[in-house]
Amino acid sequence: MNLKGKCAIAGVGITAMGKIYGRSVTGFATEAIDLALENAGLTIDDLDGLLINAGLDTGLNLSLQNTMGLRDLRLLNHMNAFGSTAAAMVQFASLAIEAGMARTVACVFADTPLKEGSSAGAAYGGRGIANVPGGYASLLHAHGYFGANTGYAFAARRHMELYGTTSEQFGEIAVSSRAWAVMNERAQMREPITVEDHQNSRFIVEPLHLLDCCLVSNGGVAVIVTSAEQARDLRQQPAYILGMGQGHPGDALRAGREPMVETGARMAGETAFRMAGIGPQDIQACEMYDCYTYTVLVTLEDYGFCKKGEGGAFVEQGRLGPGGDLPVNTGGGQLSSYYMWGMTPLSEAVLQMQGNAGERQLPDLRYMLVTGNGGILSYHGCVILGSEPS
Amino acid sequence: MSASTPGGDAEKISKPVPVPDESSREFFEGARQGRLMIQRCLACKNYRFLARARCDVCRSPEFAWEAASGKASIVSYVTMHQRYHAGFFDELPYPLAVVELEEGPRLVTSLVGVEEVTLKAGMPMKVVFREVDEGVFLPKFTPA
Ligand SMILES: [Zn+2]
Repeated sequence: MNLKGKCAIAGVGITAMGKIYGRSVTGFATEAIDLALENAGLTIDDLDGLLINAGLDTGLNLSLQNTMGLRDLRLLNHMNAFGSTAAAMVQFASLAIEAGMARTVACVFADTPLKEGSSAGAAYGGRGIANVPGGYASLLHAHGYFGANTGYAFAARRHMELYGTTSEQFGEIAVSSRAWAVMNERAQMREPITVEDHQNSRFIVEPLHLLDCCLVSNGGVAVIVTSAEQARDLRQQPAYILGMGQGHPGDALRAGREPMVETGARMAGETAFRMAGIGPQDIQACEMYDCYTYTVLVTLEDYGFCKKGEGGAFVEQGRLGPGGDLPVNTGGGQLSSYYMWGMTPLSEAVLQMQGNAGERQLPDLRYMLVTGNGGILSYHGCVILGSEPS
Repeated sequence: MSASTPGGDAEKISKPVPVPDESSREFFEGARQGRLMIQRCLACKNYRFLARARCDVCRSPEFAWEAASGKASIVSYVTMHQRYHAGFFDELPYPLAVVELEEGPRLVTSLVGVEEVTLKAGMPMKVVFREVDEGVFLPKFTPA
């Protein structure tokens, strides 16, 4: 089964983002799906598949089907491979559609980690500290290791030690993302920043500064996946799915491996590029999972945009920003726009492929790469989107 | 203010204490006796940490616990600045490291005796044991 160009993303829906309080996670999910259907020119009666990815808020689950009044679905699942889930949902939907199991599938993520009067850091970093697990997991807390920030800080430092990568180079990524966010009305952070601002922002877990870390957002995003045939007749320019892949390296502490600087992105990229019949040199822009600046740097290397260890130099001089050679995270990414796990890069990619990215719209887009990453560089998924099915 | 004010300084919050479970009992028992216990595959002799039901090289379920030499080197290191757990607030900022044991496996560790030391990948380290609760010992690392 060759899936290249057989399916497409026909619509995207993005709710209000950020410090939006007093709304339920199912409310965000429902609105996102409604917006995505409207964007595609479809109605809820056209849906026969629903794939759900919940974040921290466990209120989002299979009961969304009933909340939305969806009857007789041919495809339904609650999926979770953390930040790689958005890509995985699009992949699963495509496989099911091509296999004749479903025709029009909504993929949705929604979350409400922000609570009024509580800090953004508490939403993620504080999670689970109260109920420490037993065994080896309890060792980490006993040593004073908390939150994903620490794992990514270790990874970033390893890259710095092996290749001479600098904090200022991480800063270049933050600066480029912010420059894109300035042009995105949905972005939570729209004040331009400099590398100096990045350097002056407080340390979270050194070497990571505050401006190396993503935002936390309440909101929801949905996309509609359908056959290329159907997508062609709908309201928007389809984002054809040309390639997709996953890579999950396993045990990060295993002997003889360098999982901090060599991630599952490489394996995912090999699969996706082979399916699409193109290489990194053909990609005009990337929407990359950017939970941290370093995640972008290591992902660029693993997809072959530059050699291993050269990511630091690669991102300098605004290469990823507006006017740069390789636009990356053109809506501001998770660093500056909104944090909806893998739906942040996916939603911006669909807007760009549709030509609906407003002031930040890239011209003549043929191929885009969308990546998702979860855990501490543990889980990876990607989708290559194109303006034509072949 | 009286010493019993809720949330006042009098209420010192302690650090999380590790809780041994079935797969880590030998590890914590070893630590109590000053030994860093890791698993070794009986089929291919590969060492592993954390504990696993099977060897991830040859898939053999047969293994034995062995005491590691305690010699290691730094793979990566960070400095914790963010306030996560009240038991650590007094020590912020404090360093953590990932070290690679001479036997191969890597582990996350807190550090001892590094106040005057510039950490670096490759720096030789050795294990030391610290009692963190009655009868509960934690392996930590210090420059060799
Ligand atoms: Zn073995």
